[in-house]
Amino acid sequence: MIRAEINVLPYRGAKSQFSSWICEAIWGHRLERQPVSALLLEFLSIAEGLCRKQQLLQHGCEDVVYTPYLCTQLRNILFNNPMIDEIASGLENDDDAWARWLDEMHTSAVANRTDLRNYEYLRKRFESFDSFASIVSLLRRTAMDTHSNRGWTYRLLYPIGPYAIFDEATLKPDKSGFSTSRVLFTRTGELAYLMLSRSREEVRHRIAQHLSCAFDPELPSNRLLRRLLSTPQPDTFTEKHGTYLPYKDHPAFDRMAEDVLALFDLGLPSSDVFSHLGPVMALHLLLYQLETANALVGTEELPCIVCEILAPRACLVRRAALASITDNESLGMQAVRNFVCDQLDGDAELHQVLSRTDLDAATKSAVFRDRAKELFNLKNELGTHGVNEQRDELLGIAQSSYRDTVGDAVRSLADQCGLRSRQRTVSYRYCPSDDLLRNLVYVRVTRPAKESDFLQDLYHRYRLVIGPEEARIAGIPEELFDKAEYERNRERLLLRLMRMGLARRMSDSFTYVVNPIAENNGH
Amino acid sequence: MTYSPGEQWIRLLHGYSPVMENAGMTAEHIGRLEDRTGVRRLQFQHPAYDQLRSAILPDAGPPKNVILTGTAGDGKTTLAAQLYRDLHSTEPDRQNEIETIAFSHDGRTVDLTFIWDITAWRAIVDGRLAQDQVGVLEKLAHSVLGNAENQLFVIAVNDGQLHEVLRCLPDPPSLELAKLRKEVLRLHASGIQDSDHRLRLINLSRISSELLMQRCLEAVLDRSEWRCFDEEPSNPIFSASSSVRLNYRLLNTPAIRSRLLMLARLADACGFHMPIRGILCLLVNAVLGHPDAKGRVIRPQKGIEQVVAKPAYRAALHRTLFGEHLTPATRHRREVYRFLSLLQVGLETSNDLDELFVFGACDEELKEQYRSIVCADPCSQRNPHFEAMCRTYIRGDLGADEMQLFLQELASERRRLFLTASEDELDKLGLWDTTVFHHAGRYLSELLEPLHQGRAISLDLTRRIVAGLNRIWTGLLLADRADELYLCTGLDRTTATQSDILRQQIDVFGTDGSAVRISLAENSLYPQVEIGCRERVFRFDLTLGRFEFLCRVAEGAMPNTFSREYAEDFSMLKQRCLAKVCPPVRANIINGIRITSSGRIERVPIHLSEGVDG
Repeated sequence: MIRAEINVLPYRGAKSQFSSWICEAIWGHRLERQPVSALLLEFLSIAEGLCRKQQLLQHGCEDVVYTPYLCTQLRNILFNNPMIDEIASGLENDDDAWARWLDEMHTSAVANRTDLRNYEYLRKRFESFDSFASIVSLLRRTAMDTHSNRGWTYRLLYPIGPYAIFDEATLKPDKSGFSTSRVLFTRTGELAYLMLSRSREEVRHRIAQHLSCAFDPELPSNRLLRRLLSTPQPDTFTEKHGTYLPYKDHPAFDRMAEDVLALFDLGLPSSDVFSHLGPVMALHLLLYQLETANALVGTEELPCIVCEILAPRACLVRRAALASITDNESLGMQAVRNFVCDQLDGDAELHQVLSRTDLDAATKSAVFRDRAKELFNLKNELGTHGVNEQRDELLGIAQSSYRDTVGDAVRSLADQCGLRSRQRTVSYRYCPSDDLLRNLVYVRVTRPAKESDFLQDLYHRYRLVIGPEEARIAGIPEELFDKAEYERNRERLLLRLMRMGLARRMSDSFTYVVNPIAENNGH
Repeated sequence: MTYSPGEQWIRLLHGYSPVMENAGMTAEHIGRLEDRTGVRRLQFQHPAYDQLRSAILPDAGPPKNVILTGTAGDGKTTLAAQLYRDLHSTEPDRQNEIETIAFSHDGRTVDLTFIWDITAWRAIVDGRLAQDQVGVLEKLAHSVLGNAENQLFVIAVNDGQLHEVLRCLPDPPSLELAKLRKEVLRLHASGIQDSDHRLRLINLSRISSELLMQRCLEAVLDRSEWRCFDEEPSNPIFSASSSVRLNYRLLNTPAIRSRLLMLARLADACGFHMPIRGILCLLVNAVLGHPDAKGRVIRPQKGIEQVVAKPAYRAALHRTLFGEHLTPATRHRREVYRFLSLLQVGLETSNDLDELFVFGACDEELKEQYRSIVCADPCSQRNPHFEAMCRTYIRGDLGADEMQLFLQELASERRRLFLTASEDELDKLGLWDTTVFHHAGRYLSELLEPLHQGRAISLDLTRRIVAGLNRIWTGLLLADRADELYLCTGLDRTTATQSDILRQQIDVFGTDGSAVRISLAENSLYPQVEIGCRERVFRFDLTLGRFEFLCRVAEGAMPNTFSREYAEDFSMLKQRCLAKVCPPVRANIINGIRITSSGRIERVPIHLSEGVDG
């Protein structure tokens, strides 16, 4: 039981900074929109910080405290260093180039500590300024989201080693150093980490082993990063804590952990696994949100996700996919309403006061206001008079809070994992991208699987409805069900998988779904 | 209505045509036609027959049970029936879905049970196989696992039904049935033919389409019944101007037969299997197809003389062979037409060729070539109105509808030439450029042909293939002929658009196990590229599609722009290749790259220690 009292953990931190405590009580602190790169790096940042403390995936239900890297020098060199190419190409004399560059850095580099503003050590590390510049250029190519126009303190690197995993920071107003911020790292990546840390022990343990290898400071690419630092380890930032995941146990935890482990077990070369990890975690966070919302609405299971495999023109499956996304996106709102009503209705003391006939309306209203503030940690008192009006106002606050945070996160997660699309339609509907389909095959197929088994597995595990059999089992309403249409949808999926090299057709339209990467490894 | 012998022959052939709505009933339909017409059906020795026979009657070792799988129309049941006839000297009854005969082998009497078609045999009640049928499979399992020496089975089954039946076994199945299921699924999924137990799984879809085309051509064209053209010249169907006669004549020329074999070879090269039923349908439709006939296929019936009297070009071979006269739905039902439409023959434009078609009649420089190549038309295949259309086109007088028609006819002319041109002309006239595979000619002549003959392919072609790989896998414009294969990655991902870290440099013609080889494994339909790096080897199939992509990229096409699908395919191949041949190492150096003026890559070592670069 997801929402059983025994399964819900109390939040031990201070709630004073929150305007209300409603969505946080349901999904945790917190689910919020963030780019998939930030989701991945925030997850890796907490994992790396805890790996350094020898506590990787060992916390269970306690508050997790870690210290992320700040990597002041690395970030200044890579992202706050616009003159390097001009200096490298403009000055023939190496000493002049170094002198000019060090001068530039002296004025422009930002650091919280004075010793981190000094870049003289680099001169001894490189044969020439040119070779230094070429390595900077090489490392810059590993930057993520290069198309975005974020400030340099928000630029992130692909996780080529532990020193490429650092916390986001903002410049102090006087540009004298960095201070903390929660613009990119909105805690959703930390929430993903907490989900993994509460998964089955044996799976968690194996994920920890894989992650520890990825955090090895002696990785060649990490050693390249280290060459740019004055110290053997990068500088760290402010200690972080306080992320809250309300449930001790949740079906989403094991589901995510198993898929993450399956990705690591593929043995993809280099750091390729991370380009799949972000979208896979986004999918699982989305499923976590949906399943939790559904539990509050009354059903302890994932709602159906009807997927259109991109059809050439409008069809019944497209209508069903549109209806499915609308239903699922409204689940969260219903969950929030149910949560508020359940809390109010379950408050015996409040109930007793409101049912007393000897109290006037103003007194009841005052009691309700106080109780609501306490129950939901409202920052501002309810402004209306009359219990019914106050109740409506409270629901309004809850829904508005949902829309701005979790509701927005859900849409963003669906985009990041490749589940949602507007291709060939005006509105969004569930229409999986090639990347999502590839990730599903990577995590679910180790040896050739019958197409029907694959589709059934996607249904039972993620409630993805693609073929006619799954649509029938899912109980798709009659007006949105036509066997032939879902048959065509299934056929489109198989054709796409075949084109992507992920399916092998045999006779009489019989198809095996295959994972070439797993086959490569002799699984 | 009485029919002449020639007409009976055409009636039988009509049974193979694409008009047949329910392709699954073709065998039964042909059987009835055979009885009615008194003409023997189209027959030939199936290429897989020896594999079947040698499993049941091995020269040495124990005999094996056989499961025949394959796509509909591959001849599973026919093949099993042929074995039945050979061993029992009678026709199978086929009224029963299962039949058992006894035969002697090595002094022992063996009971051989045939299940002609598992789809018709199996009965599933409440999701489980009927008890008596489970009993039959128990016996099969017992035999496969070596515990019943004198009992063998031959089972014909479609791939999907094979899984279906195994899924419907009792839950839990007996130990032997469970073992049988595991073994059959293992063989089926991995494409292995012989099990360590007494079981052989023959997948007829793996038989080369070229071989099947060869047998089908002989079965259709070499029949003595075609003497009807000489014996019944007054019959409109067999008259001198009839499209049937002209198309048969053209189809029976060595050049066209060889072109059809080439098309089948291309199907193999694309990983596209042509089932026997599809090939026979293609050939019959090529001869009998006519846009004005009822059902669009000629057969003896009332009013056929008016159809045959129409100009033969309307049913020319280059139109009927590609199913131009059939409805899109009919074409789509047959895999063989889906394959031909994939080739897009005639649909790609080619400047030189189109110039010849359009201006050849009036341009002095082109006239001679035009006369010898375009006008040569001994079988009246050419549209006589096309020249007039060209003249109107040149004058710019074509309306929108006429322009559409003109473009269709132009494509048709390209197809005609593609079909009738000699092998030399195919290359010389750039006829491959009118298909989607511009390099298919090279694939066949420079790659498949030498490999089939046991010769090595030319060094230049190997260099070109490697150049394509280098360009795709590095994202850099390197030399268009390569002596070294560069396995590069980004610092972050192996599939980085620009891969500037050199992980391995392999001498294409190296001798110490590090080399790139292109070879053809026995029984394989397409060549394999083998990338060796010391002890480690990575192989991938070089299908026609991949070859085309490599050649185009080697010539300078941008991988992602030319084909996103193949760009992703090669991206995955690169991931697999690196995982296989470049294990992670803890070196003190990583190699950056520098491109030389000749388009080669030079290592630029980057030291990882904190000391100064050496």
